[in-house]
Amino acid sequence: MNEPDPLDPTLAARRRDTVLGAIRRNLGRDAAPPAPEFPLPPVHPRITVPDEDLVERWRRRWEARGGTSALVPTKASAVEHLIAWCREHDLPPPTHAARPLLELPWPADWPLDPGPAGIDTQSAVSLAFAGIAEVGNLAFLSGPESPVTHLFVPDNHFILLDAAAIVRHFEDVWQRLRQHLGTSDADWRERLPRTINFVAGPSRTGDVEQTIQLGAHGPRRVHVVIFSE
Amino acid sequence: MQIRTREFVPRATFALHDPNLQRALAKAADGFIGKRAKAIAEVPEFEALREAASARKDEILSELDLWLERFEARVRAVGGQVHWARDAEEARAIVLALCRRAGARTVAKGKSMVSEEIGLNEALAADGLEVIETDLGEYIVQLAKEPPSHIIAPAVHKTKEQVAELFAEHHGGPPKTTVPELVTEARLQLRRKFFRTDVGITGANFLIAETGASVIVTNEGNGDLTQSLARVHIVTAGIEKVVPTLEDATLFLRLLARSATGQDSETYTTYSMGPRRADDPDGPQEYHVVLVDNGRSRMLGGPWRPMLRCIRCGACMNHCPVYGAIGGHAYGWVYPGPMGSVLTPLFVGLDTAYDLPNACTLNGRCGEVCPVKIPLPDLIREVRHAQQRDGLHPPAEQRAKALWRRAAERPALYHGLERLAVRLLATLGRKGRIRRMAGLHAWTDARDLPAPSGRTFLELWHAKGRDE
Repeated sequence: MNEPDPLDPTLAARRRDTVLGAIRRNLGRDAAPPAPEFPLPPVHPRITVPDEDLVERWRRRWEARGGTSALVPTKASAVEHLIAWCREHDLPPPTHAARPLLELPWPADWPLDPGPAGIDTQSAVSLAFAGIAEVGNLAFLSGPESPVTHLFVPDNHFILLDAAAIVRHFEDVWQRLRQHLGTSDADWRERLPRTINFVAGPSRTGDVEQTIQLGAHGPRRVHVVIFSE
Repeated sequence: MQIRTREFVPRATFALHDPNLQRALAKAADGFIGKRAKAIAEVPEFEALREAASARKDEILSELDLWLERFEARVRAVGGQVHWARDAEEARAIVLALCRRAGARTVAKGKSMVSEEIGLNEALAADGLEVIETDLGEYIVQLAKEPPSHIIAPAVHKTKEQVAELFAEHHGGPPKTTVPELVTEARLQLRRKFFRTDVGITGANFLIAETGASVIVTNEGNGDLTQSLARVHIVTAGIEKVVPTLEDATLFLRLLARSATGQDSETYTTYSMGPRRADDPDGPQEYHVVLVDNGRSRMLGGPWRPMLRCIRCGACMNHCPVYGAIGGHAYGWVYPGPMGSVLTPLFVGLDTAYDLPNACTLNGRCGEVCPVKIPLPDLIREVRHAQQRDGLHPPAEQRAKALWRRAAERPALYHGLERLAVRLLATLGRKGRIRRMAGLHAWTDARDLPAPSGRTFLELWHAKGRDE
């Protein structure tokens, strides 16, 4: 029982110094090179997104991967659409929703819980932070108002997406994120959420004979309602 | 993971005669190669992306210490902890101590090649923890008590029927017959386990210095349930995984999914930065990143540095005719195929993994498809040179080479022997092919040897000179 504790701070510091020392030795120098805190984001090649309607491109690519989508005129009208959609596809109504969506005119018999999803949660509604036209996927930020379990636990996932939040490239999301989180007196990184999640349709696996099957662990059906304000 | 690289020849021979494996491999190769080609044809910028990624990775590796220190500082700033492990044993000890401190009984795991490299599952299980692999492919090989045979498709060697039998044996009930039934069964089994897991362990496709993020990509969502439902999230990652900014991660992600599965992105890409925040309703309470060296820092110094560009997409093995014929298990350790033929000897020893680089045909396809332009054929040759320098080649081969050299240094003798050989071989040929040859059965059983015309190149050349 006298084995040293691997989490002991002195031992940990020694291990750290050894690894960094070995890296430096093999790079042929003694100390880390001086460099500015964070240089401007580097500019790397992007994938050309033709100058077409971004919403249309986004939907085409989203649907090519097994997701579904619909356009509605306003955020509030998404409710009506979802009632009809659930009825038409014989889906259980959502039981969980992101907090900012609770203000929408939901039917009285759809009591929506903003808390985390549980093992029996069948269906949830979320609000996307952005859509990316490059590949046709969505970005989400976790937080007190948007439980991350809503994205992965339910069988059915409904998502509201503001048409104005559809951007061309991933780089545009990063720029939006820095603006969204930054304040005049604080670095954007002080307000990072625990997770940034990109979702590109229903969960899938090809692990049995490379046959693509939807609904491996996450949602089997993902339906996006795009609104404009 | 147990090192069985010395058994390469018997295991490869066994694989060549396993009809189930041959069927599975043929199907997989067609799928992977076709899907990647289609995805890349849609992106005219693919070559430019490869160029940029390869150059950027070299830049990052030349300042690796700097970016790792920055990464560590950011992880601390978001409330997480970084642990440094010099080798596999230290990495296992750290993860085990974190599990013990958390009072864990159940550990869920997302896919992580580093965790295979450090033999994490065996160590956790030996300590009495229940370890659940959650990637469907990893879950299948875990039930079969086998190691993965491919870095992104661990159960690629299993047929549907074999999976059905395994599930029936472990879950009860009659064997299922369709893929949807099998996937649903695994989903329901694993769902219950996710919700009672204490610690969630994931790998990292990238670490981002700017934000302290670990990034994972999955198609199933298993890595996300693993980290979101556990009390403690532990990330195991090699030190070469760090990149400076979000934009850098984007560059590599544009190449990763297309090279791996032929998708333009995986279904889920998740950036995790620390434990749950004060007001968060879900997510883990602790976030730990275990940075594993295990020989990587040494690779920075020599000719092997380009190997550290590897983003573990699996394209090299998908396009390798040797991998396609024998599958991943024959390679005897964690990393199979061309990348494994370089990495494995460097990790476990040039002698222990002697056969791996020598099984390569140097056809060059792996180098052509590598998204970060690792010169794999050159590195494989370099491993062979290192083996030669260490005197590891078998005595018979060394004697044969010495003999050949002595002949080659005497041109008259060499050409005389050559004239003799081509005349002899020409008599064995039928319609320009030699179908069977004594002493070369291993070769001629599987294919024909082209028969020479009966005269050497020099003879033909001189004859041509006279004619003109």
